[in-house]
Amino acid sequence: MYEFLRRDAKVAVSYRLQFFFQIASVLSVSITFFFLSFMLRQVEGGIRSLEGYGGRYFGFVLIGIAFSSYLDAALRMFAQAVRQAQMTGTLEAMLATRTPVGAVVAGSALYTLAFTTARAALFLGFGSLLLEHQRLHWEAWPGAALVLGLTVAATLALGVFSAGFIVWFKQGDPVTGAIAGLSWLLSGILYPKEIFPAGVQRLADLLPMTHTLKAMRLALLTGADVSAFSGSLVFLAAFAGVGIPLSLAWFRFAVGRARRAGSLASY
Amino acid sequence: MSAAWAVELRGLGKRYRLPRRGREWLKPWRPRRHQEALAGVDLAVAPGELVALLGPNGAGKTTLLKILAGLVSADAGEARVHGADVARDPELGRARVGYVLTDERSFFWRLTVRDNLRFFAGLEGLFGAEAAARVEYTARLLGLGELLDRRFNALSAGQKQRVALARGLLADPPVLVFDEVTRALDPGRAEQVRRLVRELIVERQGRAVLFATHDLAEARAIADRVVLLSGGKVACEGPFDAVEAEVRAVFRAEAEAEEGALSAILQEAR
Ligand SMILES: Nc1ncnc2c1ncn2[C@@H]1O[C@H](COP(=O)(O)OP(=O)(O)OP(=O)(O)O)[C@@H](O)[C@H]1O
Ligand SMILES: [Mg+2]
Repeated sequence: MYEFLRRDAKVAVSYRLQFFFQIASVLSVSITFFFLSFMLRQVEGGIRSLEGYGGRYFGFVLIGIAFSSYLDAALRMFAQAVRQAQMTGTLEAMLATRTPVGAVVAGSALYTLAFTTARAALFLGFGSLLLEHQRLHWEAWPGAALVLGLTVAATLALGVFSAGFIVWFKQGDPVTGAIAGLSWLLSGILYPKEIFPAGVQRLADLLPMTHTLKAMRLALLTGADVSAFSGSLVFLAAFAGVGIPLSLAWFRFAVGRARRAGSLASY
Repeated sequence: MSAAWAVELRGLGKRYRLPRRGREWLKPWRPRRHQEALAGVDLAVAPGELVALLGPNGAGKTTLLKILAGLVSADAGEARVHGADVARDPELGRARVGYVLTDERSFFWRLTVRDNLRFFAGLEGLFGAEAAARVEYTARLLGLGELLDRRFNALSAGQKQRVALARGLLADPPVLVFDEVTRALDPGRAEQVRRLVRELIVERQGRAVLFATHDLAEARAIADRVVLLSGGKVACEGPFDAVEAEVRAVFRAEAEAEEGALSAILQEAR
């Protein structure tokens, strides 16, 4: 597994400029939202939906954008890694080795997962420098780490599922796509989900991202301890606990199909 | 069943299901059409033997090699590699059979030769000092010692081919399969690859090799024995000179079958 990480890190660093831009984009996005929240400052005291999250927009949206990358990761990391390897022919070379298909796919996505996590950390680190009248409650890190771990697990469940789709159909899957789209809309990345009517909020509560963000905000913005967001933890754990075995079974099925069709490594 | 054979195929069969097309979607209860790729192939290769797998386009060569390498599953018969059936257990095929891919795109161009080989060594279960030593050893074997720290994209075509052979040897598999590996090479480079396979991999290292090609001269130059596949069956086998006449007849017949269509096209063009 480590071999995959090393390979992708080396490839990434070899595209120096692009690597630099990815880092720079974190800074520019943070600053953009900083100014947006600057504008909202006059009214933010009156935005009732922000109250539960410390009352200020910048802190709120910082958590939102930092962790929303896991949506992209789930949607794209496995799919893109597999697709790219299919197109170049490296997939066939990797599949001809004794490493099982699942490990090849997981390994190929590992770097994106690590990069996503590093990016989220960078967002928080840089963003916290821009925070005013508010600070990140780093002392709540055990809860935040727990949320992060469960988020990664939920991301894996979705990612493995979409990898199965790529292996079989050679194209992205509608399910993960729909979940990602709905999450952008409903889960409270840029605005609190509390602005929606109760029915829509209940739908939002079915999305893992909703729970990730809610729990992260409670922990990092208000310093709440785990008991304040235990419901979200349970949801994420259940999602991962059910989702990972299911998506693995689906993935194995898809690989068997592709092997029979002789299309394991073709595009 | 003798375990003395490195590779032993018995009644190996494979049919690909064809995708539904157009109107067929309207009648999903109809059975799907199939393409028969292998129709009961029997074949054996001894350790230290090089068998050329000859056959015209579509004869089933690639399918056969991929089944051995665990990339495609068979639906009838057995494919034994040193006694164990890889048609049943594709993971075993992946461990015991080296599928040599010489397509230069199957490497990471932005990494050095060493990093490339280290990565594939990792996938073969070699790590740390052991992997480093193995990479060093295989690279030297193929005269790549000096090139280990060059980026892959800075190599010449011939050097890339040697890196591909080195990759095939990393895991030290007892059986290696080659699928038209000289197709994109000029005559000189093709000859170099053949000599490496013949003299290094088969004669010196004693591995069993199945070498697919549709080039008769290549088969004659490299193989101890040829097996001719045609329409998914073994049409004949033996030392090249003994079966040459029959091989030529099969290739000619296959080409003549398409002759009619061709002359129609040419007629049209006139
Ligand atoms: N993935 C696939 N799905 C459906 N049919 C396939 C598939 N792969 C191969 N076939 C068909 O199976 C038959 C055998 O193909 P195969 O590629 O094994 O032949 P080959 O001897 O390697 O040919 P070539 O010399 O052109 O490489 C052909 O009729 C081919 O069209
Ligand atoms: Mg072929």
